[in-house]
Amino acid sequence: MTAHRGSRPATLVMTAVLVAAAAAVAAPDLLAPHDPLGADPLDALSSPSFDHPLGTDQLGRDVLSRLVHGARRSIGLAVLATGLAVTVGTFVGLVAGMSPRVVDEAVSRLLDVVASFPTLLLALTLIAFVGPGSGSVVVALGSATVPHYARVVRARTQVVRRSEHVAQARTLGLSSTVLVRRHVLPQVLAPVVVLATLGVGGAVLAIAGLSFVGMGVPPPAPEWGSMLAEGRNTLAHAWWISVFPGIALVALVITVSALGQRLQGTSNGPGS
Amino acid sequence: MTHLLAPAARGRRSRVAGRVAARLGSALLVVWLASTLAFFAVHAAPGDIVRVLIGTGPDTPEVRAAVSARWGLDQSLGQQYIEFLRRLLSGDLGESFVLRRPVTDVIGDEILPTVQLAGAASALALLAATAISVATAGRRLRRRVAGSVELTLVSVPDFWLGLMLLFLFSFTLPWFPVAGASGASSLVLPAIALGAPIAGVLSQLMRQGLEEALDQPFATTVRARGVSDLRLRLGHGLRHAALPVVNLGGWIFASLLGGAVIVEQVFGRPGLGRLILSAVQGRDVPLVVGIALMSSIAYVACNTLADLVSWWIDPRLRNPVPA
Repeated sequence: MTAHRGSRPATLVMTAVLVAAAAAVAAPDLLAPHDPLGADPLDALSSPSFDHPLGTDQLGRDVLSRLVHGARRSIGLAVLATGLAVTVGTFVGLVAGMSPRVVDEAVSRLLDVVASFPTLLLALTLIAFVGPGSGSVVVALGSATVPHYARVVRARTQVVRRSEHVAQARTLGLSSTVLVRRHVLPQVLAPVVVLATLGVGGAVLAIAGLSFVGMGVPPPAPEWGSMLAEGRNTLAHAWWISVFPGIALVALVITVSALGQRLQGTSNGPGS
Repeated sequence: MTHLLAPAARGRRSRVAGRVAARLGSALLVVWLASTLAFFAVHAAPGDIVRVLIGTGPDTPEVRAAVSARWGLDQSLGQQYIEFLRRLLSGDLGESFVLRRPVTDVIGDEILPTVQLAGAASALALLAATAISVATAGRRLRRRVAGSVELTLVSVPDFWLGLMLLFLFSFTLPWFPVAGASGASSLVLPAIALGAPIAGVLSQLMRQGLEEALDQPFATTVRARGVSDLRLRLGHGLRHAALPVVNLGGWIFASLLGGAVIVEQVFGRPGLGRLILSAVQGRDVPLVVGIALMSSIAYVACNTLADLVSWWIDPRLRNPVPA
């Protein structure tokens, strides 16, 4: 598949987006021209200008600065939620894949149950218990996406545990934990890395969506989803508040998905 | 010859019946486990349930006893669980603590606009995916363009697409209403916003299915009979492209429901989204869990149906080669 290798301009754009995102996450203060929370009622809802390249919002806060500072929450929370899901999912998948049939069946049915709830609805249900907020969103979304990773790891583990080299490692008298850590886990991780990359894109969208409906990052902290929610109210007069966070989201998610597809292409080899 | 083939055919039929029964059994098991989870979730809800139910009334032991008896909370957990399952079987999802009404009634009041939205969005997604895949399958340049369009559709958050449509076609050009759910014109923009990401996924899959079908010998035979390319694609190819779409039935349902919750907010539409969000905000755990359980059951039903339909469409899937 030549599509997986991608063209050179596409690689350049992807690199630029990733570098910009990383810079915004690492050092927002260096990039943002203004204070993301600095309200200026006299300068509210002004269109993009030299001083405010992306305009200002209804409180006169600089949209570009809020966008830059929002990256840390929008991307950081998505990475945390995915990390949680990958860690728990890999562990559960390994346990199910290495265990006798009874345990495997029980764990698999449990995963089926979790997966039977639509992700966003399950996340909202968990938020109903713990209340809205950044931490709840990470835990809720992370738990809701565990089956995604656990199922793949389980299936892969079952293939790997039957392979020749694991059988030979077993005859050397290695304990189960060492066996799993040294010989099973490394072979299971490649598909997980691909899935996790694609998963981060989905998590960015889900976190922004949850914040958009007021269940995620509380105001006035900048976050792309909640910026869009604020922009909804002034859509008739100020398009720039809603347009730019959305472009940032789309650029990031397209880049991450394309990256995931390329990883998939390389990890599956040229034949796939 | 029929009498010689009959036993084999009968054996095959009973194997198929066995597989259908096993599939239904595993679906029921998941539904039962999900219900049990829902029951214990409501019981593990933070806070004193009786206190919530008393509301602003006086919190005396007599009132507590009366309220507990009224809601069946004075029974043992086991009794309550059996009562819960019994009610569930008769279609009762429990009662909202905040609204003091059966969850099914509350859902019934709000579900119609959501069903309309989801129906319009899935119809739109299917139409668009069919048109794109038929027009681009096996054509080098067109499929490259379609590929990028699809990646964009999948990556654009539905609520942002909704905001942009709202800005362009409601505020700038006054073609569609800004908010509400009155009439077909209020359905157009939300349906596009909700359907676009689904169309992106479906069109990728359908094109793959079509391309595989067009590569097969039967396609050459059909072409040799002088059938036009378009008729070959519509009449013969689409049937092969339908299978992956059917397989995604459960996923489509979940995306529609999850997406609807957020898209409804963008367009200020009434519906399940508004209901769920206000229930989450009000910490109305029985209502939230009831809605979640209902969607879990519907999801399992969609997936089971999808499997059965795909076995029906493609007989090869009925007897998979054991791995």
